[in-house]
This record gives sequence, C-alpha cells and structure tokens, in this order.
Amino acid sequence: MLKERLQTLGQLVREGARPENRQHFVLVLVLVVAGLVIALGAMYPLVAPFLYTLF
Amino acid sequence: MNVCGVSAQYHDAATALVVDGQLVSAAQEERFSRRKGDPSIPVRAVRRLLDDAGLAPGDLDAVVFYEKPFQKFFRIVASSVANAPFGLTAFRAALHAWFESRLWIRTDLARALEVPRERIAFSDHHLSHAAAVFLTHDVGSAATLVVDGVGEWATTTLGRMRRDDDGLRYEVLETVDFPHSLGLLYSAITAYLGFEVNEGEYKVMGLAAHGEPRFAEEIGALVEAAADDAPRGTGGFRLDLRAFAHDRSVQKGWSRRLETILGPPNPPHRPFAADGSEDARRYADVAASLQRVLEERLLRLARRARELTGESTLCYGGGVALNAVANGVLARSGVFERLLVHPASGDAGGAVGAALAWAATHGEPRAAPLGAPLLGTTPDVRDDAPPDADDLAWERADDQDALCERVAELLADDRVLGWVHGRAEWGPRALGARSILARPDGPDQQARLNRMVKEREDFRPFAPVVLAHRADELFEGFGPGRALERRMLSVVTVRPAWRERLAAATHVDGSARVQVLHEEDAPLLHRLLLAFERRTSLPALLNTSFNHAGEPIVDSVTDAVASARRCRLDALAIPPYVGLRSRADAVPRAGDTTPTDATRC
Repeated sequence: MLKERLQTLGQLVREGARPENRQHFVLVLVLVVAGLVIALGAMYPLVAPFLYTLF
Repeated sequence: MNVCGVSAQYHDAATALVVDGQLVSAAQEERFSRRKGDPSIPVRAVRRLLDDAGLAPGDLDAVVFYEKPFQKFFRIVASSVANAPFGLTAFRAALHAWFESRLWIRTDLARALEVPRERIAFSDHHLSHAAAVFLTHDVGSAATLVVDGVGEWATTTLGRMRRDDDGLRYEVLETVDFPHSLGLLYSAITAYLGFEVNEGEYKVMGLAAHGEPRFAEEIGALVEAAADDAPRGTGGFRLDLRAFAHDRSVQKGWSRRLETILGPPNPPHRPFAADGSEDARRYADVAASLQRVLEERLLRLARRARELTGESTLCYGGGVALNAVANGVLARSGVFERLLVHPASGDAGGAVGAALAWAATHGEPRAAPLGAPLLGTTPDVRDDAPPDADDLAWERADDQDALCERVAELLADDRVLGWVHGRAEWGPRALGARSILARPDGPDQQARLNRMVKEREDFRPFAPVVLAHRADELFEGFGPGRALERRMLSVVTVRPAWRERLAAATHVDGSARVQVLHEEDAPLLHRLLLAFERRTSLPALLNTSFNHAGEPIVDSVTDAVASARRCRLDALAIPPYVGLRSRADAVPRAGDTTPTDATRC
C-alpha cells in the first residue's frame, strides 16, 4: 500500500508542477512531506499518536 | 463497453452503470447502507448494480470518479494561503481529511471495487453535472448552467454542450470560482437558520413560503452581480466575503457581519417552531429573502447563458437545481424554450454524468433519453409468500385491478399507506415506486402526517401526484411541456377552487411540488389513481417519500416493513400483497384520540 501512496504523491507533485498550479508548488511539496507523515500515521495506528502530535 | 460512475467522499455517494453507452441503473449508497447522505465509497451500490446487470467488477472498462481530487486539493491550499494566518484550524482539519483518505481515492476505489488502478478515471465536477443533464435528454446542443456549492474551483459554470461525430463537445464560456458561490450562500444561511447543511436546504425552501422577503435588499447586496453587458468571461457575481466565513472555517459559514444585518441566528439543532414569535417570523423572512435573491441571480445567469450561446435549450444542473421553487421561476420565465434538469442534480447525479461523459468520449455518444427515472433496484417480493412482517395482516390480490381497488378503498377510508412497486427512483424525489400515499384533503392531514408519520417540522409541505389528463384543471403555472413537473422538479400553483380538496398537499402560499403522472411512467400507480378518483372524485393523492425522519428512502421489502413499523403506517402495499395494521397500532385519524406524546415513534 505504501508503494501506491507514494505513486499518488508523485502524481500530486507532478500536477503541482503544472503551470496553472505552480505558484503553490513549494507549499505543495511541504504539504506532501507533512501529508506523508499523516498518511503513515493513518496506515499504522500504533504510531499515529506520536506522529499526529507533530501537527 | 461497461462504465461505472462514482460520486463519493462528501455527501450522497452514488454510482451509475452505463453499458454500451446506455444508462442502465443508478443508486445512492444510502439506500443500501441505511445511513442518510452516506458519503463513503458506494461499494454496496456498485455490487448490487453489477449483480443486477450480470456483470463482475472485472467486466468494467472504466470506473469514473465524478471530480478531480488533486485540483480540489490545490484549491484548498490556495484558499488557505490567501486567508493566512486565519483559517489555520480549518486547514489543519483539511490536511488530515485529505492525507488520511481523500487523496487516495484512486487506490481506495481500485481496492474497494476490485478493479485495476489504471481503469480508474476522473471527470471534472461541473462537466459531470452538465453531462448528467445533457446526455439523459434527446438534445443535440444546448446551453449549460451548473450552480452548486463548489466543485474543484468552479461554483458556477456557463457553457455549451453538443454531440458530434467525434463524441461530446463541452465549451466552458464563463465560470465563477470559489469562494464566490450561490450554493455556499444558501448553505451558510441554512446553517444560520439552525438547519443542517446538505440536508436542511429543502426546509429553508419550504420555510420561505411562510415569510416576506423584507431582507431581500440586504442579502442581495451581499451578492454583487456583474453588469448585464459585462465582457465575455467576466459575468457572474461576487459574494461580499466580509459576511461569510466558508473560505476559512469548517464550523461556521458566516461572520458576525451577517448577524449584524439579519439578527441573531437560530441555534443549531434547535427545532424550528413556526409559532408566530418574532424570531420565527424573522427566520421565515430571511428564508423568503434568500429564496428571492437566489431566483433573481439565477435568472440573470440564465439570461447570460442565452446571450452567450444563443441556444434555445438550457441544461441546468448542480445542487442548486434541487431548488424546485427556483426551477419553476426559471422554467416560466421564458428565457429558454426548454429547461432540462436531471432528477438527481446534486452530487449523486455526478456519478451519472461522469460515466456518460466518459462513454460519450470513448465512442458511445448516443445515450438514449431517460424516461421515468426509475433506475434503482427491484424489490425482492416472493409470489408465493407475503413479506415477513407479523405486525401486518397480509392479503393477496388476485390481479392488479383487485389490488388497486383494495388500496384505493383503504386510501379513501383515510388510511396512510406505504407503496413499494418496481425499480426504485433515482434522485431524492419519491415518484411512486417508494412512496407513502394518503388522501390529499382534510385540514389536519398535513399536521397529522408531519407529526405522527414522518416526525418532521409542521411547516414542511407534502406533494401531490395527479393524473396528467386532469393536471391543468387542478394546477396552473406549468413550465414548457410540463417536463419538470413530471419528475417533481418544479413548483406550480394550486388553483383556488382546489385548495381545500388538496389542503394537505398545498403549501401555505398556494404552491405545490406536483408530480404529473403519465400512464407510461408508472402504470400501476396510474391505475391506482384512477381507482381512487372513481371512489372520491379526487384525481390526486398525497405522495411523500417512504422514509421515517432521519432515514433514507426505503429500498428493499425489509426496509419497507421496518420503516412502516416506525412510521406506524396503516397499511403497506407491496404488489401483489397488501398488509394491514390493526387500528389500535396505526396512525390516529382526525377525531381519534391523539396520544399525548406526539413524537412517539
């Protein structure tokens, strides 16, 4: 499942790099990193409480 | 080619199945999960529709989601940047919602529906809405107007759609983008009036008839319309965002400025009481004013669409097109010669549009027009045994005439009756497949049904179903061809001579959201109406959706039996059977002793 998540994030970054979305590209990159942590938390409930304290 | 359309994640998840370019079935997930407005991926609905069509998930060539989630995500990011540092809490909540589930829709759909990831495709939200109208009608080209809360970015889209040899052509001519939104304006004031968003908008529409539009100027000033002669691409409207907060808050859609203009809001979830108090009158006036402003803005948009496209037909979609009162105003305005609306014009209908648009652009552009929107499942009735319900005494009718005579006799005797026959309706309106039927006359009938059967607010009206050949005698103000009224998508006026005889189905302002019934749309119900007319000389029945407060419309026989028990219906007709409840357990009639606890379930 992690592979599919990473695939999706890759697609999101590619979409974010398109001209019409580029003004927020840096923010999208930051959010993708943060989102990856959230996604990991959602996938592994045991670590979720620790990861979610970051946000 | 088999295509499955899906809408999900926000509210009213639904699916639609298109086989060889033809729409064969559609259903909302709530009908199967029994959770009203269920937003989850419609696994149950998809499985049921595939089973009914004799297909397996592997037979699907494409599963088309009704919008583009990445674009929606970028909109939320951009809105948050624009509002920073305000709205941080909403942004944090959105991040969790997106990274925990919404962003992975491709994977989730593939896993839940057991189809390969590469077969998942994505439509555009407003394209899905426009296609749901256009591709279910026999029309070669038309103007399109989509108005809703928000799609990816757009909240209002004016365009043109046409079929050609290559498939489907969709030209977007003007858009209004988030946060400027008529749908979100309506939702904000729905919440201000204490009703639940995505559920209470119907109540606001019903409440509007009780009020005077004395705040129309103030609310109108919050929705600044572009000049009629604005250059192409610059039409539409802008909200005064100082009065709203939907772009930075998930808790509340309005600001203190709106309260300064309209007064204190009704606290959420406090039952609205049309008790004649000053507050109650003010809330009704706010609702009436909102309705007036909405109608005015929609008329401007329609005129703009006509001017930009020159088309004579308008395909109108999006959640705002569920507002039957405004639909009637648009239809009667004459701006367009034909006004077409999809029976499930909210997000559920996006599933139909997404699937049909995908099929149309992949070699199947000629979908047959949708007749009566009965696209759901067929009830599982056994011919040799009545439904399993000990609280009802079942009778079996020998034939359809006998059944209709028996049911008409019960209705004439003022019994309230559940009616389950044939494929379920597609969309929020009960059109005689999953309905509660009753006599439309009697001054206490409306309150009796609101309180005792459906347990909902007294001010909410019921709707009549009328034989088509007598519709003009009872009602006036039909739109062109009575097309909308055939599907309960518009509101007309009850002629004064009939208001007493249709008292329970006539709203306080003399209006009614009528269903004009043609024999070909529902032959058995038509026969029942004829039998009822012979007994009472009334060519109409009160027709309301078969559900109890807070539950979805029933789908299966099991649902119907359970809901009939909760509603304490006098009888339940599931042809060829009619089940009767004992008088002691049934809904009290006028003159009966009324229980002290009127909210008893």
